[in-house]
Amino acid sequence: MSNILNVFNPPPSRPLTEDEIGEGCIPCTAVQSVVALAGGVYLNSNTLFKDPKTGKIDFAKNPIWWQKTVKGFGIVLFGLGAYRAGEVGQLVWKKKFE
Amino acid sequence: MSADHTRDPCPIVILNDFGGAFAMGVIGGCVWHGIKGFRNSPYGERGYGAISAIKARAPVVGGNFGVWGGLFSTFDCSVKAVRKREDAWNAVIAGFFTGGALAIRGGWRHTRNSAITCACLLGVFEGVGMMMSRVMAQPQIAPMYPEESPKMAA
Repeated sequence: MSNILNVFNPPPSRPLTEDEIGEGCIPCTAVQSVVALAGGVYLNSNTLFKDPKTGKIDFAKNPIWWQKTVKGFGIVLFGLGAYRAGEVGQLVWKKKFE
Repeated sequence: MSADHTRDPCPIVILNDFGGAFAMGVIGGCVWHGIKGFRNSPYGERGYGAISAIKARAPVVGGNFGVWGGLFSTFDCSVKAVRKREDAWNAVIAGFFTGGALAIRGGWRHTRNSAITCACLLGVFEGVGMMMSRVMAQPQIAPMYPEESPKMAA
């Protein structure tokens, strides 16, 4: 089953079990770290707001408050990615040396 | 209720969803652009027009579907991990973020509208899915026992 198929055929509501939540899933944490770091960098780049044809920022479409909000969210996302990358390092260290 | 062990764990299900959505988009794109290319070509060139339209546009449609599916699945997994619960709200929240993320280059109005529309659409899908599964579910019929006859009771 996939998450998309679950939209059309929703499973009954339930809390996730301890088995599913897991403790220290390295691939999950690594994927989240990479996605968060890449997303943070992308949201902080000005290319997001520039018009692809003219290369200029349209301030009516992207006002300053919106740019700052997006960039702030990007910084939070990058921080989360760095934190999760640290967790991946810890998990790998634990698995290898403990 | 026991856990569903037939499902892939979260990082893998994202790839699974990305691939599934890409395949679905390519197949749909082939049908859509094949017919469109066929209809828009002059007589004698219709087959060639259909094939060239499919070659040009079907991978793009597949890519768009794939990006949507992968992003939705990523957000769904993240929401599930944060809420530690599996219910209809996960898809609605993930749809909100997916719609917003895909439209973020269009400005704040476009982002807001797209996020809300996507969340509402997924909410409707979830509602219809739940309704259908309730309708399709077989009613539980109580077992029939023969009634005690008055003679036997006496």
